[in-house]
Amino acid sequence: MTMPHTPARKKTASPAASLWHWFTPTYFRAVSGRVTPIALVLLLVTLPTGLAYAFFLSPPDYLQGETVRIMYIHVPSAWLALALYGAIAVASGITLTLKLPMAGHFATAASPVGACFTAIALISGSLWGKPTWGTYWVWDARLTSMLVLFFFYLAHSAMTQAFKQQERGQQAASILAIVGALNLPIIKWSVEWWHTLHQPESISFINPSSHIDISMLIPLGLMTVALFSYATIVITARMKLAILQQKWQSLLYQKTRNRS
Amino acid sequence: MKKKTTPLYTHRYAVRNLTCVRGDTTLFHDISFDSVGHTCLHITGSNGSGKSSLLKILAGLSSAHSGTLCWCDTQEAPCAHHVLYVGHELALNSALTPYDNIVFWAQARQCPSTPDVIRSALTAFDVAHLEAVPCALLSAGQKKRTSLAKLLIDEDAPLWLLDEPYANLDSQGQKTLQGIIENAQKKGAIIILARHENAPERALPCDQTVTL
Amino acid sequence: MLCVFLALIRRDMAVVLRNGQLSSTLSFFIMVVVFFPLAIDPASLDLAAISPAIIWIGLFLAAQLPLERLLHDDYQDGSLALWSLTRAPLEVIATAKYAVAWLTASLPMIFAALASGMLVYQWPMDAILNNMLTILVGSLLLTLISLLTRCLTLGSRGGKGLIYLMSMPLSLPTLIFGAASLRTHTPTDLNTSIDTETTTALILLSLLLLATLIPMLWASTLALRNAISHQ
Repeated sequence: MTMPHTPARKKTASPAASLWHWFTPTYFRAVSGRVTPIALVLLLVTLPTGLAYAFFLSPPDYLQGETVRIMYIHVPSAWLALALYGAIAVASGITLTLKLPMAGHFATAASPVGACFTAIALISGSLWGKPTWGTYWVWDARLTSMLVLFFFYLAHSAMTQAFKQQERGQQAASILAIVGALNLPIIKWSVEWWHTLHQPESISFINPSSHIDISMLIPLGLMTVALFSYATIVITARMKLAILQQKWQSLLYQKTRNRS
Repeated sequence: MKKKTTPLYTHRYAVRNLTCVRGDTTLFHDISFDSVGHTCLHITGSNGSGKSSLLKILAGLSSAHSGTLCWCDTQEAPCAHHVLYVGHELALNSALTPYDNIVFWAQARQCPSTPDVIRSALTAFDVAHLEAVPCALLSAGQKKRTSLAKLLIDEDAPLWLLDEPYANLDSQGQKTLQGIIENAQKKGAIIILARHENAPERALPCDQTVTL
Repeated sequence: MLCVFLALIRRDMAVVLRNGQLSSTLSFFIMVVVFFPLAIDPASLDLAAISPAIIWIGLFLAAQLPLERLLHDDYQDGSLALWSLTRAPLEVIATAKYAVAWLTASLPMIFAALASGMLVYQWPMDAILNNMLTILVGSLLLTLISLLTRCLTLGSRGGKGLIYLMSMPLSLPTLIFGAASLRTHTPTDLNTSIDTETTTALILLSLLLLATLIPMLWASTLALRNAISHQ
């Protein structure tokens, strides 16, 4: 382990090798062909009903009034952003240990999507914050760590693009993703600590004593399913594109080799 | 006077079914060869055929997509300090003088680094008079000579990997290098060098050729 | 192994000294720290109160500088690949780079930071030990983060923006604990608790260093190995 030499991968069938076969682009195409229509149907069902519930059918909050409807965009986006980062961190671990190519493609495809949803969560959150607490932004632990998450997403997706060799970019990005995933709790905790030290603001996001009514849970659930299926569709499409691009690159490369 | 006998045990490097993939492209496929001490192996191929990649894999600097490397009795690439590798990148720091570059190289390889050793290595390649000039000011050929002087510091290394060693070298330098390589071969090293088909390195001793 | 480590440190020190990087990093830091008050109206603001932010921003920016030459040049000219072909494992090489970066950039900056803190921002004299320890531990952490980001971006076409984009969020806990543990005012009767607060922050900062030192060096080595194998 300590030497800079990695013995060449042997041809014998190790568990990793058989897994490797499962996660080949061909297998991925078969799975994505089945997953995408399901996700599309889910999206087409849940998005209109969710939006209808969120904007018309659910009642306004007794404290926040109509602005509470921002929650149905804000909360699912934030969940999705966090879930995607978790998934990227897991995929990064797989990239580094088992070297499955599809894991790298997944991380590459997912990080711009995650960045978009983090941005949506941040913007909708600050729009929600203005009428609720009277300010667009506070340096609260949750907001700060979402902002940092946004930066991690930007850095991660920049990293995947920053190298001539895609593989190298994916490996570097996966190290960053794992370090970032370990760092996020530390960041959140340090900001919390800093806050208790200085200006204990009396803002709590969702009052733990208040329970959410079922009429609010339904649109929240619908919107969450809608956003998750949207992310699934986009990420699978981006992964397919990445595989095609790689094929195209290798064709081009072979052409230049044949000429010489 | 005792007759010099070749030692019974020599180094062996067995390479089996080496495949190198960059991205989705296979650079080379199923390369196998055996190499033993006292021999020189030439890897030939056109530009972009993966000669440098193969040398890096043989050095253990990068890993192959599949295939095995067996150095002597092990099932893996040789220990790092057995490998003497001179690639296209000359590994000379431009702020340091040739002398300093070689001294630090000798220290890193844990070889003798006395001024005499360093000076004689630089003299062999005719760059001793430049020993106090920062490498940034040297010409391409002078840099190449300085880089090759590293070979003389660790002459006993059992595996020499040279990537187009004659590049940028004049005929005098080529002659010197040829002498050094033949000497190392006599001492029992495995020499593997990469060249294109009609490169001047053809003049070097060649026991075996692998074409990519 | 120790021989190689020391040889690498000696060599890199020589490179840094020949390149004149020592003075350029230091003068960059001093420039940041001294120019800040010029851009702020000193009469209207308590300079000592914002001094931790200025010092830490300066330290953060300057900590990114030394490894640019140390790692990037060695990667480009193939030295890193050759150094990896020695008896020393790559971990030792990464640690040596870390040590040189800290010795040549951060060590002088500790004294510059203390001096400018006291001269420009009127830090109390009796807090000098606390502040020195804080900057010492903080600079070790910042250099560690810089090492990782530099190793990750070796051979990239991302440029400097990418490095700052990565290292800024990673440095956030260091900046927070570091700023909290600098003692910039003489405690008055009103805020006697300030001593315990800064000490807690210093302890947290040190714990952060202890917890992240080995994992970060390991991750940097991994990044270095990937970079070398894709050269």
